[in-house]
Amino acid sequence: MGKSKLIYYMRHNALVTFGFAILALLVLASLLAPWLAPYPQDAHGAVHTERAFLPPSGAHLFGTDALGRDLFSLVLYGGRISLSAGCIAIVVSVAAGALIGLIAGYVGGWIDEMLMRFTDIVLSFPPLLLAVSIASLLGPSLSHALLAIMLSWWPWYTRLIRSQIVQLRSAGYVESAIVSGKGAGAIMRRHILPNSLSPVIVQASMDFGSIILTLAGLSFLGMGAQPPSTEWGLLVSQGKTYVLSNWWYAAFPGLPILLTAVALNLAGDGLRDLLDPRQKGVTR
Amino acid sequence: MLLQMKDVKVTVQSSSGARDLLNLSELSVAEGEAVGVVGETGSGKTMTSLAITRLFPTPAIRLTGGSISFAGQELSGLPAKDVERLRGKQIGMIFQDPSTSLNPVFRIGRTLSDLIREHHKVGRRTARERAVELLRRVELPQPEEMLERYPFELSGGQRQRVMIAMALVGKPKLLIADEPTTALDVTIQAGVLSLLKRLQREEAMSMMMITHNMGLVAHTTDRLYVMYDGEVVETGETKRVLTSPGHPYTRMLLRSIPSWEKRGTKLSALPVADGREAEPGGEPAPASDGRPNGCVFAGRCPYAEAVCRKVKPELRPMPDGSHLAGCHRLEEIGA
Amino acid sequence: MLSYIGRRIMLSVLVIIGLSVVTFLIARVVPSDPAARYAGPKATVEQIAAAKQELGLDKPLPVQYVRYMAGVLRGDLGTSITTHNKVAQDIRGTLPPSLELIVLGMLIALAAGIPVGVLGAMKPGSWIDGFGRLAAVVLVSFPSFCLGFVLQLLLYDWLHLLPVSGRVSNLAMVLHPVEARTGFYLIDSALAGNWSFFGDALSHLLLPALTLAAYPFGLVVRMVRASMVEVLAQDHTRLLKALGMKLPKIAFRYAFKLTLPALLTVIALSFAYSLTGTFLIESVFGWPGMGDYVSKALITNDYPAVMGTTLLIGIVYIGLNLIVDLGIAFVDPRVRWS
Repeated sequence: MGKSKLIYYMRHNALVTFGFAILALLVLASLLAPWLAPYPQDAHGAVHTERAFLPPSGAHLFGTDALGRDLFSLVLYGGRISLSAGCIAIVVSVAAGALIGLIAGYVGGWIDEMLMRFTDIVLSFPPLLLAVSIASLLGPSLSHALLAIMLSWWPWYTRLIRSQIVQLRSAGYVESAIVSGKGAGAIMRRHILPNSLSPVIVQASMDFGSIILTLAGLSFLGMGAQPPSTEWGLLVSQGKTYVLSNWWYAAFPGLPILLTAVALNLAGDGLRDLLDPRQKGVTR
Repeated sequence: MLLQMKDVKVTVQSSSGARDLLNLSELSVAEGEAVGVVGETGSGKTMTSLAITRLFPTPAIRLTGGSISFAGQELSGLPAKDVERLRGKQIGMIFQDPSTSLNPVFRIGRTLSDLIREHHKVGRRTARERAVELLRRVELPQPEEMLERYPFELSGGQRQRVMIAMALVGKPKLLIADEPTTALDVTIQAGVLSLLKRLQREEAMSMMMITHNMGLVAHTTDRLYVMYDGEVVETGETKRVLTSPGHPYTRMLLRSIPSWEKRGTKLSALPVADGREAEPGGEPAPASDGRPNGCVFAGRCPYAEAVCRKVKPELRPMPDGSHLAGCHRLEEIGA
Repeated sequence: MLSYIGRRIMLSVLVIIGLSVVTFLIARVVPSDPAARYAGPKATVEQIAAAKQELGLDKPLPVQYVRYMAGVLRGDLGTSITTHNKVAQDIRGTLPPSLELIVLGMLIALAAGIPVGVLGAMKPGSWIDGFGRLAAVVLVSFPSFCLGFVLQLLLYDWLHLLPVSGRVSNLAMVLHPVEARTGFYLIDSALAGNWSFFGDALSHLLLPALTLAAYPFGLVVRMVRASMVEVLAQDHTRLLKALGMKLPKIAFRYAFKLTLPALLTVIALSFAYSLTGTFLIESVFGWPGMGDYVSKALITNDYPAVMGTTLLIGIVYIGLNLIVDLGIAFVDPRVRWS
């Protein structure tokens, strides 16, 4: 993929570019939270009941919550929690899932059979249900919610990687590499990994969005992050009783969740077209 | 003339700019005539048929110039909607691969009756009767039973006949057959070809036979167009072109056909395009439409010399006057 | 075909057994002592021991599992720790409202999503395609609870079109009561010909159903569009086009049937999503359904309730996947006859 082609692509796919831009903006804002937040102490336990429920204004862009905390600052700091938690969850599930898939696909035989039947069973659980029951078992906390998400997400990648490997192993160029006496390691590195990685990256970028949503959902149900955390889903949950009287309380923490998911979806669409043109327009 | 195409240009717009896929100087089909369009994959022969009915696979490919007149009507300026009205009714088409050209989850009868009712105002029962009649015309055994079958229950030849029956529904004036027998067993090909020939005569249809197979056009067509890289390089009566080919490309195509007479001699394969990129020094600057100046075949032509790379050859009469070919060196390399 | 069905059913049964073991184990290793909570905060040691015996918690795990499963087969899912009702009875009460919600949500998603997906595929790059794809991305990305709030603000607070929460207004409950036969308010009131109650219940149902429909709508649009684009590029649809059949007829009749496998898959996915989506949405709309029941049970560690509903939802989900797989096989005559 040449640079000029990438630029051409970006120009002709305004939505994809928009997705990447929003994502960059969200990540940047969270990284720079200590410098951007007008009231950083509000995200660290400060309470000012005298300015509770102030609507959005110049002083408080997103208004204030029931404890008088500046929602703009809370949301900025919340991004650090939500985005990094999502990152950890996706990286761990991809790594674990891919490893198991690699083993199953490359070793084959009864190990493959066993691993894949196990994956089938885990995949047969309704996704959120598994996460919810694991989170309820371990008790409500952010790290338990993350663990629950990872435990229910890895099989997707196992299945994806394995099917890629099985497909690639019988591909003409891989067979010819085998015939020409290349070692297993070299074939793995040169042919199989690079070719099976693209669909995984695409899938992971889309799933990142779903994971952010699931995490927020768990927090909203009280099964995820606990106060005084400023995780986005938790903030929305705290604002839910005031939706009709103080709309901004739930709306502004909800907005970045929506934006992150939209951005990741758009970016994932774009990545798929770029990395995996065969799959163009096909979604799971 | 039923169909007359002049200077037709088809252009594809892509990330690397616009490129002409078709640059057709002239092509015509008379009433009741069978015309062959021959060339390799990518020669523009299929693009020619798509240009007539505007069935381009993506919106990136468009008709960008020239005139296409069909049955006295100029098509090139017409809005897409009006051209669509010709499909099936005035112009019928058959595709190459009968195994992929029939919807696998619909019975033959359903598809045929739906098509019949698309073109004629008739009821279900009449449509069914006509479907049976059509299947009989394409010489399928037990047509009533055929209607109840799914495509996967038919053989390749039977499917191709069903496709021909579908093309006949609108009683078209022109039938375009795009590689109609390429996907079939050799033993079945002859039957399908003679059926096409007979139907063409009986229905007084014109036919455009698109193929890469020189042997096939010899028996089924009156006139011939040889295409290379989107351009016509030679045309004339089929017999004349085949017996005294002028253009080096046509000669190569003919020489690559295996035959009994040539047994024991080496089959000549077409030299692979040594590519315009392959000779950076001698490469003329491409014209503004993304095509090189000069002859399209110069890169692969054993007879090419300086003039061939600079000046585009026009179609001109062969030295014996039998037909037309587009080559600067007809006289030197003549038969 | 028969052996395929047999294999598929066997796998489903295996998965259901696996599910029951997992839910059972999860419920049993819950750290807090369920017997103590069942007996109440002021219970004596003897009372707790009695509760333990009553709940069967003094037996070894495999025995408990077998007893639990024997109960499940008889339709006995145990006793809820918080409501002290039979879980099966609680579920019978909460299932109809949830199903009502899920079914209406799915219908909305399909009725809107299929045409948008097909039309988008017919004219890629057109305004309806752009709109459909954008709407799909946004609705798939919308946290359902936030969307619920947005719709409440918009349709209740601002436009005063729909009631904000609950299943039916007290007024309708009092003025036009309906005899509960199936538990589905719409069906019960329609059977009784009680249209004022029906209208009231429907207006209460719309907001949560719309919220629940958002994600499936997005999925349907994407899947139908992708699948349709693929089918429309295939030779047989191109041939029909070349022979003069109108594009809408080709798309909605001929191509559509080939997108059915994708559609069935997406319906199963959406249904699974909706089952768990009710956890979040019912709490937003105060909808007295199973989702609400589960989310409360989760917070109070009411393990028989969690187990029972998890098992039920799991079985429904697995059964649905089975039906979809068999349905996909049945749509294609090549598979059906073999």
